[in-house]
Amino acid sequence: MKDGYVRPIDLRDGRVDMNHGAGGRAAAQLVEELFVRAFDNPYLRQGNDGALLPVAAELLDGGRLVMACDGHVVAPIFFPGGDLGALSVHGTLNDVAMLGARPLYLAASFILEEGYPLADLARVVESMGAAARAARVPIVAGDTKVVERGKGDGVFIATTGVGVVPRGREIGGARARPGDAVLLSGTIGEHGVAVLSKRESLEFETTIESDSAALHDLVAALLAAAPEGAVHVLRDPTRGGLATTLNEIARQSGVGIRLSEAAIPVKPQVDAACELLGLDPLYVANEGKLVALVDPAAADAVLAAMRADSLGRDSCRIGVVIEDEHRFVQMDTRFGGRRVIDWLSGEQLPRIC
Amino acid sequence: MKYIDEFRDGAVAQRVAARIAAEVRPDRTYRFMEFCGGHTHAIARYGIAEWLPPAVRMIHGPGCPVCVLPIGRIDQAIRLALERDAIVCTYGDTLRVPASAGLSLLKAKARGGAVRIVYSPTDALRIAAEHPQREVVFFAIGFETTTPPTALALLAARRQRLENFSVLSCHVLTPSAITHILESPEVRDYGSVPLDGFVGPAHVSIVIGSRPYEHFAEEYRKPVAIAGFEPLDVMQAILMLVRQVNAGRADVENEFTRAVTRDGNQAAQAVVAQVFELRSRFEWRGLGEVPYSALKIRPQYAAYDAEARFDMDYRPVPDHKSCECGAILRGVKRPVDCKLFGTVCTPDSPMGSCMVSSEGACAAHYSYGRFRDIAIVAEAGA
Amino acid sequence: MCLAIPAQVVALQDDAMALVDVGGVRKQVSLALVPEASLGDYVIVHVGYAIGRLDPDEAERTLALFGALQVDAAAPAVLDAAAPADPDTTAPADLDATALPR
Repeated sequence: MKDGYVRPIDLRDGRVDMNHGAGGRAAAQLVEELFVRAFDNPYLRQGNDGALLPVAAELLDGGRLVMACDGHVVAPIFFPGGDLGALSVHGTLNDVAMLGARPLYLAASFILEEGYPLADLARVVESMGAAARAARVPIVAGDTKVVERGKGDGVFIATTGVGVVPRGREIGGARARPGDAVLLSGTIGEHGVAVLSKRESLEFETTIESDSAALHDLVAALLAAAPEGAVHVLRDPTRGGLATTLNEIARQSGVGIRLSEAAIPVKPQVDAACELLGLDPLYVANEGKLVALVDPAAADAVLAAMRADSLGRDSCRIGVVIEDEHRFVQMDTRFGGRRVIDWLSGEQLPRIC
Repeated sequence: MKYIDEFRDGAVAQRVAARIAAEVRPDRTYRFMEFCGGHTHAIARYGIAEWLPPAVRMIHGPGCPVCVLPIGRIDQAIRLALERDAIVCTYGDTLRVPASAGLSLLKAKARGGAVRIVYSPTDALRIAAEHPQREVVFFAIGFETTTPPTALALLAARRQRLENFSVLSCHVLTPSAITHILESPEVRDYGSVPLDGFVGPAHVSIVIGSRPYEHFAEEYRKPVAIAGFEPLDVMQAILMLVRQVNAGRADVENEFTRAVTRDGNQAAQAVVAQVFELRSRFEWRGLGEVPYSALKIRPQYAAYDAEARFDMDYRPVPDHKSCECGAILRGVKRPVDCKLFGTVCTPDSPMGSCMVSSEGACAAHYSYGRFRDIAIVAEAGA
Repeated sequence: MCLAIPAQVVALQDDAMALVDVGGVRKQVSLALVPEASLGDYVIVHVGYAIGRLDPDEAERTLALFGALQVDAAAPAVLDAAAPADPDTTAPADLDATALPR
């Protein structure tokens, strides 16, 4: 009998079973061989249920902590341009970054369904590790639970992110002011279309890929291009799309927003896919774009900085904030009229009419 | 996108709008009904009302099959899912329509009913093939555009011997609806319908052709202009109607010649005639019972008719007392005339048919037009 | 009504199926209702079925007639396919100089 030999988990043909969530040897082995190996960093290697973390420099100087969390349940788990794992990293990093914060650490909780192939889980986890490394933000703590077959959709991931803002920074949805320039970091609608293209019964062929990306470097670049306090609002238009995000901001800030349809960039295939399904690109999810509402004096500099970043090449000015007690988001259409871009009612569904 | 973008050209819209403004007579108004929900949506989405002179009023008609689907029919679909354990396959449009007992198909799904959204009847066939031990019912709604695909799916089910597949037919007919409007109670009160013409549906007409409208034009002396789906099509059709009214004509004109012919799609009409026959009566939400306005599956295909297969009865359910959908669908009242509009009845909590789908008059006005009811700020602060 | 969209047939397949293209997005649809459609044709697609063919010549004529002046009050610029077009009506319209108030 070979001493100290532990048979490795069968990541090729194995499946998640109830043992993996039971806290015993099998669970520990899954954590070690899959998660820790993919996320590897000194904090995780401390080997405790929580991570001991140093204090960031900004906090010593009067800065503040930012914390955000996100649940990820997308189906299908693998889609063109991304997967659940990368999405769970990008999504929470972006939530943190939208407060103008430097993201520091992530934690991830997994709910696994009994029977889910370990090979697929490995793909998801590897992807998360790669996304975290590319973003230079370690995943320092985590947890795994298993639910019975039929009670979960393969994998659900919840991520929590922590970051810091320097003293005095106050970026938020309530800070928009009349006159602010509304800037958008690129083309819209790609994530939603990419995911839909793989949903059964809607299958269509397209080269559109999800735009899932971590935006904190883009945020740092655009903040550096303007005096502190010039960038009022940052937000990433995820579920519900650009329309929903702008409506949220308008309501929070008590202002109106006026957009120009011709200025909003949409890739032709996204337009076509939306036509086919009866969807409006304004309401389709993005996972790698942001809107910035900026003091007009700083708008040009901020826009230039955004365009210089690889994730902001197609940045553009799409509108302006106005005084409006009704808090409407209005759009001058390409056709020549004007319409109100209203809140979404429930989920946008493909329709026949 | 070819044959789409060219028909959305704002510069050309200016030209058409200028023609309309130049040709409307100063001494009268023009009230046109656009029958089709897709046109209602286009008018709202592209702000076409802003291009029209005040003398031209667009009335939104009942051409939205979801809007006119009565509560009792949604109840049937919900019962199939919750009580008969069938997998109910439906287009996304019907999911949120409120039915009896505070339910909708979406809520039935939340309660464990097997409700699946499909893009095409072929998806329902595939689901039936994948679940041979379950009953699969396709909830077939729509006007004449959507009926031929349903007919083909039923024939395919028979060919493939899918014994677990059936269709709940709620297909309705455009000409019957138009007739009903032209013979509404208001006609008796006022002696005539307060409408000067119709913008005819785009895609329905591809299937049925322009010929069926000749009857209205002649019998009721109302001009019809069949319009394509894009905003320029709609504006041109309005121009054509203005010209007809000015000239005292009542003809059927076709703006959508790139897709509509007088005879329509014969292959599609044939397959519908093979599978379906007229129902003597069918309840339309907001319009009451309309004779010969809907289709049921022929007896020889009874095995694929969900109503026969599940021995279903139809239980009519009245709308809210204060709901003005009936009058709105007939073009005699506007959404803002309804007590419930915008307060009790909104897209998130629709009370009646006009608010239920984004094509409905009330939903379109709420989403796109209500800001015209209140003074809106036009200019930027800086 | 009804969401239907012009798409180009880019590949013919078995069982009256075809691959169509709209703006670079491709979808498989049935040509059972438009059996005469061939490669390169544009069809109108609704719920996964082609319901009719689009006539490119009529499309061009329609575009040219948008906002055109009515030539003769007794024989107006009717676009119906049954009435052959008077070549003069396809000349560009005289633009009305009055700006439309908005």
